[in-house]
Amino acid sequence: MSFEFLSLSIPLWWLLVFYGIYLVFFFLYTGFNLYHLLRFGTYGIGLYAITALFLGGTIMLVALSFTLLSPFDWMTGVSVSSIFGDSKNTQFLPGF
Amino acid sequence: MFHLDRLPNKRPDERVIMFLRRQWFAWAFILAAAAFLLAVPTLIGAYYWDRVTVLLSHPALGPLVIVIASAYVLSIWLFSFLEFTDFYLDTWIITTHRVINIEQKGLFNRIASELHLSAVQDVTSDVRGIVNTFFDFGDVFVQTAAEKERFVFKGIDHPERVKELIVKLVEEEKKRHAQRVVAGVMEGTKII
Repeated sequence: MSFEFLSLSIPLWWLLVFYGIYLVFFFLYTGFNLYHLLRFGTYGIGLYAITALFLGGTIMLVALSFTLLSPFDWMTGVSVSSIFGDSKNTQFLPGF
Repeated sequence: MFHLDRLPNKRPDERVIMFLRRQWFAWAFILAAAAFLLAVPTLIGAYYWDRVTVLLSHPALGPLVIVIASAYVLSIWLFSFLEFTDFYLDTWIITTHRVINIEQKGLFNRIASELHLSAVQDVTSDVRGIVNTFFDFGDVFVQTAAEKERFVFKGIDHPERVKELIVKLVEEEKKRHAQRVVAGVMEGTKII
C-alpha cells in the first residue's frame, strides 16, 4: 500500500474553521476597541459618530465577507492534485 | 464616558479653557497607510483580472482567496481603528487651575496625570521641520519645579499659542495662590 500526497482530499470546511478562529480574535479586539472608545472617549457628537462609523463599517465588511463566501459548497473535499496539478498537469496554481 | 464639565476633583470655580488632541496629521497618516495597504492588492488584482477570475472559479482556491482577502481587509479595518482610538484617546485638558494629561498607550495602558498650574516653572513650545512649520503644529513642554515631572503635548495645533495661554494661566493662578496664602494668614491672625 503506497501513500500518494497528490491523492489526498481535504474537506473545504476546514477553511471556515480557521476563518472562524480568526473572527473570534477579530470580534474580541473589536469589543475592546468599542469599550475603550465608549468608556474613555470624551462625551460629544464626535464620539457617537466615530463609534457608529466603526460599528457600521465592521458589520458591513463582515456581512460582505459572508456574502462572498456563501455560494461555495463547503462540504466538498478538494484533492491536493486539483490545487497543485497532477503528473499530467504540472501547472502550479491555475490562472497564473 | 468622560464629561468635560464633570472633571475629577473639580474645584467650584474651575473652568475648562482648552481641550487638545494631536493634530489631524496623525490620523491622516493612519488613513493614508490603510488606503495604501488596500490599494496595492486591489490594483494588482485589477491588472491581472482575467487570471483572478480563473482563480476565483476554482473550487478550492476560490474560497481560499476570499477567506484570505476577507481576513486581510478586516485586519486593516481593525488595526486602523485601533490606531485611531490610540490617537483619539490621547488628550490634554487645560483648566483655570491645572493641566490634565490623558495618554492611551495601546489598548491596555492608560496614563492619566495632572499638574497644578501653580507648580509650573517653565513652558516651551517646539516646532520642527517644514511640514510642522507650514501647518503650525508641534510639541509643548510643561515643566514643574520637580525635575522629573514634565508634560509633553505631542503634535498639537498652534503650539506657540498654547504655550502663551498656559503662561498666562500660570501667572493668574500664581496670583490667586498668593492671594489665598495672604487671605489664609490674615484669617489666621484674626483667629489668634
